[in-house]
Amino acid sequence: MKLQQSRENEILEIAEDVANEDSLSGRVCSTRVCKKKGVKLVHDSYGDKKFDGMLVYRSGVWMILCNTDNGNFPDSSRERFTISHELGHYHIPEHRRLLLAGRKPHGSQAGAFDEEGRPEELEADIFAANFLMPPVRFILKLTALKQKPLEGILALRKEFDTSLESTAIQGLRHDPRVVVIAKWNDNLLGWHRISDKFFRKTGYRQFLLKNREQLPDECATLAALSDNDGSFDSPVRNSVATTAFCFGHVAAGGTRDILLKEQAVRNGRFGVLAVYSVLNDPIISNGQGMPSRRF
Amino acid sequence: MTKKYPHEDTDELPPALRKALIECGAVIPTTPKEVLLAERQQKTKASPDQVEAAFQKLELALDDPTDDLSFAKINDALLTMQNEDLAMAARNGMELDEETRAKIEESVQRALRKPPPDSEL
Repeated sequence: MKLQQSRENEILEIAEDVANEDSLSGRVCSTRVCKKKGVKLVHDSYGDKKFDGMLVYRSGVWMILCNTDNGNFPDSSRERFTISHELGHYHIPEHRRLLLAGRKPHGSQAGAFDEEGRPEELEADIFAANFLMPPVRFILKLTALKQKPLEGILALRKEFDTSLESTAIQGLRHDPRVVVIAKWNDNLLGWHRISDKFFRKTGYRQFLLKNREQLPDECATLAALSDNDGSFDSPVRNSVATTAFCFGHVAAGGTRDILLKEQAVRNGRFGVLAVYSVLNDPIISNGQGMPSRRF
Repeated sequence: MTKKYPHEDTDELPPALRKALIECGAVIPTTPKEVLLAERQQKTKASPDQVEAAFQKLELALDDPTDDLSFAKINDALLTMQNEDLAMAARNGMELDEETRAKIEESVQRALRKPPPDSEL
């Protein structure tokens, strides 16, 4: 599922406003926002994989329940994202209105927006990412870093205290060099996202790499998959790929077949994150990041 | 301005602004042309009977200034929620068994008993 650009922009604007209400620079503090808005926070163990967080409205009181069994411990990155996601439901007018109107989950669903095909959960995720990493602050830091895409994502993750995956998605939105990011769960591709710019303008639409067997020897992703999954400070692996190899409907040697920098890092037991970007390095200054080489 | 009262303030709006306000439903159309303009923007497909009923309700409400005109549904919503209903939105929610629901209820009750945090709202 994907949101319309106009809707995504609306949510982004709300998220940035709420973040700026909290602070105008540095990290946004989701628990401080809860306190300011009178939203109570409860941490408890609700069972493994039952839910991460839950926004509840009862008797005129808003509260967020955080499930510690899913790793949502106070002050953890996961808890920060979970609270921010729930703050998205709280601040996005349409979500709030539905909850105030007493919209209840159906049957066995955990939440009011869990029916298949409903966009609210994605909207709350987009809110959370842009609340924790407000675009203006994110772009400023990204520009100042002047690092390769994956190294930049790792540094920004520390800067904003966010998860690797959500930081990578924000990096994909704002770093014009990034073409596609892919999350690998051991031997299989978990999910991937192609940059809007490259999807629309250059037409890289079908990501072909789906399982480990398709990966060439000595590529960065394969090397990262072989790294120890008990460690969270694995090295960044680097290699080069071509768009014809990674994407469908791109003719080898054609004008759209360009060299890509492939970078990958193991994120402990959560798998591997791979970032494919164009080779021309100094970025952002020209705001383009379009392919400069072809062969 | 009317000829009868030359100094009377009027609510006459520039045509483009009036057109835009009609299109977004902020101004009631008063001419057939304006009605057509407003109808083109109408996304809900209400039957003439439904429109008539809603209009009658509006007329009655306008006649009685004590009647609460709830244009926003938020008032209705708050009334709905007064009966101890629970509304919830979950992140990564799976099927919830009775035990989990009981635990949630327990947390909710506990949180309701706790004094509210310092709030700006």
